[in-house]
Amino acid sequence: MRLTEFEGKQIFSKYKIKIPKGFLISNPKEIVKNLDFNNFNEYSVKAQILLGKRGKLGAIQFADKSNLSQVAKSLFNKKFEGFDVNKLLIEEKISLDKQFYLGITLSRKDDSYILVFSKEGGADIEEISKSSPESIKKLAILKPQRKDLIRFFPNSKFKDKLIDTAMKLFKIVYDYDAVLVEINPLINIKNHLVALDSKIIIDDNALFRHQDIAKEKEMQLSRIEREAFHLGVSFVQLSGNIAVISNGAGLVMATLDLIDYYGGKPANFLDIGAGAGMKEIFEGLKMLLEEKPKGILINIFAGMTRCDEIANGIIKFRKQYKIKIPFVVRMIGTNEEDAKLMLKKENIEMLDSMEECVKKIVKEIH
Amino acid sequence: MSILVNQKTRVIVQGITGNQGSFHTKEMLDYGTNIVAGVRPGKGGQEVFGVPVFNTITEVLKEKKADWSILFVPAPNLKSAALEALNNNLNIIIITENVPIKDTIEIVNIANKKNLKVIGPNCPGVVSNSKIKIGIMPNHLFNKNGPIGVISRSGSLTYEISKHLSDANLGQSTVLGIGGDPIIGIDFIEALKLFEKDKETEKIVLVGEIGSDTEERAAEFISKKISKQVVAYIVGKTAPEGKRMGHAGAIISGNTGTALTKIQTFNKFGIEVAKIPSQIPKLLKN
Repeated sequence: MRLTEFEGKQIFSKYKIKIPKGFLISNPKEIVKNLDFNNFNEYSVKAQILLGKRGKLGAIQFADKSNLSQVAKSLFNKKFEGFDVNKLLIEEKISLDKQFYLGITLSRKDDSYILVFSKEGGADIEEISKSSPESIKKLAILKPQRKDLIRFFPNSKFKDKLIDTAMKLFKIVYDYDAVLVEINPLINIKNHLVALDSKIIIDDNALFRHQDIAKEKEMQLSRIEREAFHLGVSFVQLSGNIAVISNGAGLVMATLDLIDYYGGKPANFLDIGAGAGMKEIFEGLKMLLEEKPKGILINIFAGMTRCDEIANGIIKFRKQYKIKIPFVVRMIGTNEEDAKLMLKKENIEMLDSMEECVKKIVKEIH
Repeated sequence: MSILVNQKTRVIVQGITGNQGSFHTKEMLDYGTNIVAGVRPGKGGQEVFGVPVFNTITEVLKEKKADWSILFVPAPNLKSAALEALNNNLNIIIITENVPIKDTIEIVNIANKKNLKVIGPNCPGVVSNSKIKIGIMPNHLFNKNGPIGVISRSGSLTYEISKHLSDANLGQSTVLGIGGDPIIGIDFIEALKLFEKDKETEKIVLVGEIGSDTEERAAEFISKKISKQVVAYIVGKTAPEGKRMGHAGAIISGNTGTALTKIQTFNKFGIEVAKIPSQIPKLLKN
């Protein structure tokens, strides 16, 4: 789960990493009461949306006192790649001197965390890796001590402060189960390092250890995603017209790829995972139909899951809600023979092959 | 010989009394796996399908010998259970989903230091056809022994691929699901090395998916070190970006991570990539 810039900076601040002075608002009216304590010549007004390259998107703007409210209002009225702006972080605008990139993420190759540093911060790390790859330094390391980092950072007047900041970031990684903690840019203000931006991603699997953040995650979900979350399945919105129910990430992706291969477009998918039963398929169908797809494809490879339970869910759903759009079912695995008979009685054909089933739905909706 | 496990392998099931643990204990016994004991703290003395349950692994090892432990322990308690097995010098297979990555990092690093093997987390386990299964694959679909080794990051998709192979009369020597998490124990490269050495395996199928650069590194490794034919199949060509990957992979590997770059890398190293599952048997027969 990705935190907003402000949430990340609150964590930085707790770990004594310096951040610019500023305040958070959810309404332009809140500006006035904050100005007494935040009297600056110029302000940065930053939309708290979970997107990169906010500067380029226009989600970060600058203002002085005279037009601050106006700039804030206009940002609240904008949408960025479909995201509403609900909160703005208003900070003192800082002129940039020295910009570093400092981050910690996962290195799969090393089964470890990896510390990444560049003295050419500011731009996206991918851009830095193209424009000045020689400036990027990496160190795969677990729970480092200060002395482990001495040789990592180049000699300069910032060296000690960089080591301090890196040590704090590692502490955040471990305390918060973060899979990415990034400061870009990390800048020099009067010989202090200040985090001008923050990017923190918390491991979704570890949210049970961080209840407050877990609550926040739920707030970020769309209505249908929240329903799926409570049902214990995962829903992902795509842009086509065929709704897909399948089990297991790999099989879901293979199904989507096949739809594309045969010329169709998936609308969304529901991954019901292992061991799902009647309830998941019933509620899942309901959720997907609300999105008004042109066809539905069910592709289940049952191990823990039982095909007869899935068949029951489908039959029950069809009795309660009419399915008026093309609808194909493929199931295989545990109790598939029972399921086939049950569905046959209801005039639903159960196919054996996933490729056949995909071809059929693509053909039927055209 | 198959890779990693054989008929003589002695197995402990951790979390044997839970829903999944007991269901799959029965399935593994039916398959012929030699399960010597189960573990569930507080339930020592019970039996699950005739398998004696102990409170701890230490207690088991006072009476019995074991080589591997398979874990069905819920994610919050997984780390301590896994470390208990490793500290008793057992190799482990972690079936559990949603294990915190920080925990996996610790588990894998401890195993590496002790020279023990970890498969998973979030994996279906390993099956050597008609011999032994330490995992959750549906028994009736894994009954055709043969010359094909399968390595996969997925669960249900692995069953799908095995079925395509069996239907085309291509039996499998060992099918290994390495798990879909960012940090895992045995990876593609390690599995490829094992298959290369395995006399029963003549050809290898590698099933990959988007995220990370593990397929790219595997492709390069295959071109240098693997003499056997490898056919790859990569899913996620149509997956939306950034859904579970975030930016973590991108930072380390620049442009790698998409299905397209993976497929291009395999092609560059002269490894054939199936577009759809039914092409895999055809490519293997060529």
